[in-house]
Amino acid sequence: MKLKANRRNFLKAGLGGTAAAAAIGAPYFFVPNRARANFQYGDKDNHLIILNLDGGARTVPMFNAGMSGRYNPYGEHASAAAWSVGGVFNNMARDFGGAIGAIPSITDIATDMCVSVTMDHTPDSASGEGSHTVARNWIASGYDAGGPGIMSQIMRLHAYYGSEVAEFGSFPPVVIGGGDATTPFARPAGDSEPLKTTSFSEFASQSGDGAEGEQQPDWARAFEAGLDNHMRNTHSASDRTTMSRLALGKDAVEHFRNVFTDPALKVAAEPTAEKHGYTNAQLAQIFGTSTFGRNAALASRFLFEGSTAIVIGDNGWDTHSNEMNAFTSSAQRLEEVLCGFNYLLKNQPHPAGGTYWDRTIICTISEFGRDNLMGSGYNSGGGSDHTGTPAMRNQAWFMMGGAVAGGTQLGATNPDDVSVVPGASVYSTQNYLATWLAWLDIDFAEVFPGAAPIEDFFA
Amino acid sequence: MTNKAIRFSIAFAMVVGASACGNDSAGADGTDTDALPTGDTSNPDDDDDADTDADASSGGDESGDETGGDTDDPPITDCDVATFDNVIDEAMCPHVQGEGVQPEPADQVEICRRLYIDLLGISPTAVDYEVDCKDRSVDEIVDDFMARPEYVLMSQRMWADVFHMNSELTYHAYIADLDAMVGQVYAPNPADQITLDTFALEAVTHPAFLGRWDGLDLIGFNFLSHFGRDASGAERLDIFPLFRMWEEREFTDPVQGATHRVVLNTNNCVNSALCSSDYWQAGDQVVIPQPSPGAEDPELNVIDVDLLTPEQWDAVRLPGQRIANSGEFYEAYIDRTLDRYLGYDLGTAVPAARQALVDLLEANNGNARVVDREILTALVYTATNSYDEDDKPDPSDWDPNYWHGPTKQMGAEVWLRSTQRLVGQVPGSCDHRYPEVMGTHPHSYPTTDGMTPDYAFRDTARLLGGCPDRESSFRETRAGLIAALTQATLTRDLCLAATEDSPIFPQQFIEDPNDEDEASLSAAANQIYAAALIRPIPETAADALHAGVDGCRDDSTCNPAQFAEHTCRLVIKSSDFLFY
Repeated sequence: MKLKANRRNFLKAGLGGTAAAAAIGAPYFFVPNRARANFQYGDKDNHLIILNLDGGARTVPMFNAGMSGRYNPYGEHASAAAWSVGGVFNNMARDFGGAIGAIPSITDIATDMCVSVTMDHTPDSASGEGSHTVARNWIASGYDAGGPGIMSQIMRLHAYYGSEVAEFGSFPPVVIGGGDATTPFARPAGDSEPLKTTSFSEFASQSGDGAEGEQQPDWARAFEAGLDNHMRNTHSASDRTTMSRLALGKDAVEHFRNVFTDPALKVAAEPTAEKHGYTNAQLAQIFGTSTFGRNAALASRFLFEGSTAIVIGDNGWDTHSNEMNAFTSSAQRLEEVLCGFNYLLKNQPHPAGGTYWDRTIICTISEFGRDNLMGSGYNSGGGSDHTGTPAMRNQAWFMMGGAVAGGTQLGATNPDDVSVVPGASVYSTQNYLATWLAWLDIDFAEVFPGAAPIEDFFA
Repeated sequence: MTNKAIRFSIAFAMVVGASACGNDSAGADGTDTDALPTGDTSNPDDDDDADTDADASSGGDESGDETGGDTDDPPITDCDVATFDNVIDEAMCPHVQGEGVQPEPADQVEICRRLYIDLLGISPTAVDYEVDCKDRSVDEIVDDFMARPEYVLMSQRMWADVFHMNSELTYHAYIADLDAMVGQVYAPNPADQITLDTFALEAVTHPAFLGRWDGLDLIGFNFLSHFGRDASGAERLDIFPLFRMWEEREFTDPVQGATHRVVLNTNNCVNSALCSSDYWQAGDQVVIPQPSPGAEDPELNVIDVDLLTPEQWDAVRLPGQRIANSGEFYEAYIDRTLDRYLGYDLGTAVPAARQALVDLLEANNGNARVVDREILTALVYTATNSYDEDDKPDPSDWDPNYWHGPTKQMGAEVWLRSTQRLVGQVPGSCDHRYPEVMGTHPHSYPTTDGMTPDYAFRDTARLLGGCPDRESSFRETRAGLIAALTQATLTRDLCLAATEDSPIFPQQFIEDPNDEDEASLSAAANQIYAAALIRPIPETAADALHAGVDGCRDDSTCNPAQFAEHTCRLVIKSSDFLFY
C-alpha cells in the first residue's frame, strides 16, 4: 500500500488576511496628528526613492565593512564617515567635463549617508527570516503575512493623491522593476495602485492613444467610461475594486498623457531628448547605462514630474554561488546609481524651494543579508546563503539626503559573527517603513499602529 | 440595494450541484466520482475537520431547527440532507446556501466565454459560440474543451511559470522533456496520462529543475513549486544533503551552443552522512554508487543524468518520493488549481472545499484532470458573476467571492490573441517553454524565415505582463495605469488594421456613411460590441450607449466612420471585454 501522509492533517492556516486587514480595513482609532507631530521631518512636498536589491543582498561588505574576513572578504575604503565603506566598491569619481562635470565617488558621499547596521525584520525572534516569500512581505508591506504594498499605501494615504493637489503635479508613486521582491511593493490597497513598470524599455514603444487628431474624443471616453461603470455596478465589491483600478489607470493615462508621450521618457532610445535641464545622454552619464542606471534615469524623470515615492528594483543579489564576480558587479552598479542621485538631486531646484536633495531621502532595502559562510568568506559553492544567523538578519541599510544625519552609523555589530553588540540599538523593518510614511507626512499609524519612525536617521 | 442572490428557505437540493445545463456524475475520463463520499448525510461531527466548518454549517438561519428536539446534537441542516453530484458543491453548501444565498447560474454566453478563455486561451467569437457552446450543457462543453490540445497547452504554460523555464539558464532539451511530462498530466487519453504523484516524483530532481537552481535555492524553489511556499532557512539547510550530489558541467550543444548538463557527482556522497537528512523521515539517505577508492581524476564517478540507470534514478529520487507523499503537495496543487479557475484563494477561505478536492484526488489516484473537471462544473465556477452589492469601504465587510461566480481579468496573451483574431489577424503566440530561443534550438514561435523566431507578439505581451522572461519579469495581470497606456496604444493600431473580412471590422456596420441617425449609430455600436462579446450592449448599460451616440451626434467632427472606429477601440479595452 502506498505510503501517504494524512492529508487531512495538513490543512493550512488561513494566512494573509491579518495583515491585509490591518493595512486597509482594520478598525482604526484616530489620534489627531499624534503620529506625525512627533516626527518633525515630515512634509507632503518630500520625496522618497527606495532602491530594492532583489534576492537578499550581502549588505555587510558594502555598508558595514568592518567585519571579519569571513563576513567581508572585500576589504574597506577609508572615509570620513563613521560607518565603514566597503572595499567592494570601485570608489572612483567620474569626471565627464562639460555641463555635467564630476560625479563624486562613494567615499565622497559617505558623509551624506547614515547607515544602520542592525536592521532586522524580527528583532524579538530567536532567528532571522530566511524565506524569500516572508521576507518580501516584510519589506514590501511591513507585515510577515503580506498585504498591500507600501507604495499603494502611499497612493492611498498621501495628501496629494487625495484631497490636495501639488502645484507641481501629483504624479503617482512608481514601482520600477519586475523582480519577485520588487513587485509586491505595488500590491494594491483597495483601488489604489502605483504606476508599475518592469523597466525603462517599456516606454520606448508607448504612444498612448495616438497623436493629436487620433486621440479618443470626449464622447468615446464617455461611452467607454459608461461601459466600465456599468460593469462595476453589476459586480461585487471585491470585483469592483479590480475594475476600478483599470478605470483609474485610464484616467491617469489621460491626465498625464503629456508625460507618457514625451520623448524624454524614452531614456535609452532618445538620447537627445531633454527635460528638466538634462538630456537622456546626460542622465546616462550620471547613472550609467546598466539596466539599474537606466531605471534610475527613468525614476528621476518621474521624480521631477512630482512623484512622491519611487521604488527601483535591481535583480541579481541572490548570490548562492559564484558570488565574487556577480556581487562586485552588482555593488558597483549600485554605487554608480547612488553617486548619480547624490549629484543630480543636489543640482536640481525643487518647485517648493531649495533643491530635491533637501526634500528627498534615498534608501535601500532587501529581503535579508547573507550567511552560511566559511573562513574564505564564501560557502562551498563560492557564494553565500540565508539561513537565519546574525550575519543574515542584521542588514546594513542606508538613508541619504539633505535631512539625513550624514556620516553616522546606527547600531553596532561584533566583527566575528555580525551579532548585535550588547546594548546597541536594533531597528525593525516595520519602523523603517513607518519612517518612509512619516517623511511623506502620512499618518503612519494608520498602516502600522504602534510603530515609531526612526528619527536617529535624521540630522 | 438588495442582493441579487435569492434568499432560500428549504428544498434547495434540486439545484445544488447542478450546473447551468445539467451535470453528469461520471467524468469524461471514466474517473471514479461515485467512489467519493458524496451526499454523506452523516453527522458533521463524524468528520475529522468538522471544526473548520463548525461556524458555517448552520444550514441557513431561515430554515429553522429541523430536528425539532432539544437534544445536544447539532441540528440537521438542509445541507446535511441534500445530495450532491459535485464535492465542491457539497463542501460549499454550508457557506453558501447555508448562509441563505442561492447563486444564479451563468447564462450560456457568460459560461461559454469563461470556459473558452480559461481552457482554450482565447475569447470566443459569435461563430465559436454557435459551434461550441450554444445548446450544450456545461458538462459537454467542459469535456469537449478538456479534450483539446489548447487545454493541455494552457496547463503547460502554468507549470512553465511555476518552474521558471528558461533556456538561457537551462539546457533546452531538459526543459522540453519536463514540459512533455506536464503534458502527460493533462493528456486527454488515459493511456497517455501520468499521475500527479509520478509527476512530482520525477520533477523534483528533473534536470530541468536541477539545472535552473543552485545550492539551497534548489530546496526553496522545490517548496515553492510543490508546496506553494518557500522553505525557511533552516529547512533549506536540513534538506540540502539530499540534493548535494547534483552539479552542472559546461557543455556545447550543436543547436543551443554553450549551456550546461546536469551530472551526479558521487564524490559528494563519499561520506554517506553528507547525503542524509532527518527532515522528512529519520535516516533518509540517498544511496548512490560510491566513488572508487583513491580516485585521482575529479571527474571519475561523475555521471551524466542521461547515463543514470533506472535503479540509480530510483535511489536519487528520494526527495521526490517524500514530496509526492507529503500532505502539503496535494493541498498546494488544489490551491493552485482553484486560483487558476476562480482567481481567488478558496482553499484558505473554505478549507473544507480544499479537503474535498484532496479526497477526490486521492480517490482517483492523483488524476489532475478530475480536479479540474470538478472545479469547472461546480456552482462556485458556473454561477454568474453579476452580483449586486452595496459599496462598503472595509473589505472585511465584503461578501465572500464564492457567493457568486468568478470574475477574472484576461491575461496578456489571451487579450492580445483575442483582439488580433477579432481584427482579422492570425493570433500570435510565444513559446511558453523558452522566453528566448538560444542558438537555433527547436521552438514554437512564429518565424520570419522558417527558423528565426519572431518576437513581436512576445514583446507586446510583455507590456501587459505576459510572456515573461522568468528572470527579471514574471507573469502578472496588469490592471493599472501602464496597462491602460499599453491598451490605448494597441487598440488604435488594431482597429485601424481590421479588414472587411474581420469579425469586428468597424466599417461593415455602417450602412450609410452619412447617416448620423441615432438608431443607425446605436445599431452599429451594438453590432461592434456583439462581434467582441457575442451579444449586444446590455439594456442596463443603455446610458453608456446614449452617451456615445448622442456625444458623436453633438460633435461636429464625428461621422459614422469615426464613430465605428472609436467604438471598436473602446469596446476591446472596456471592462466588459477584459473581465469575464
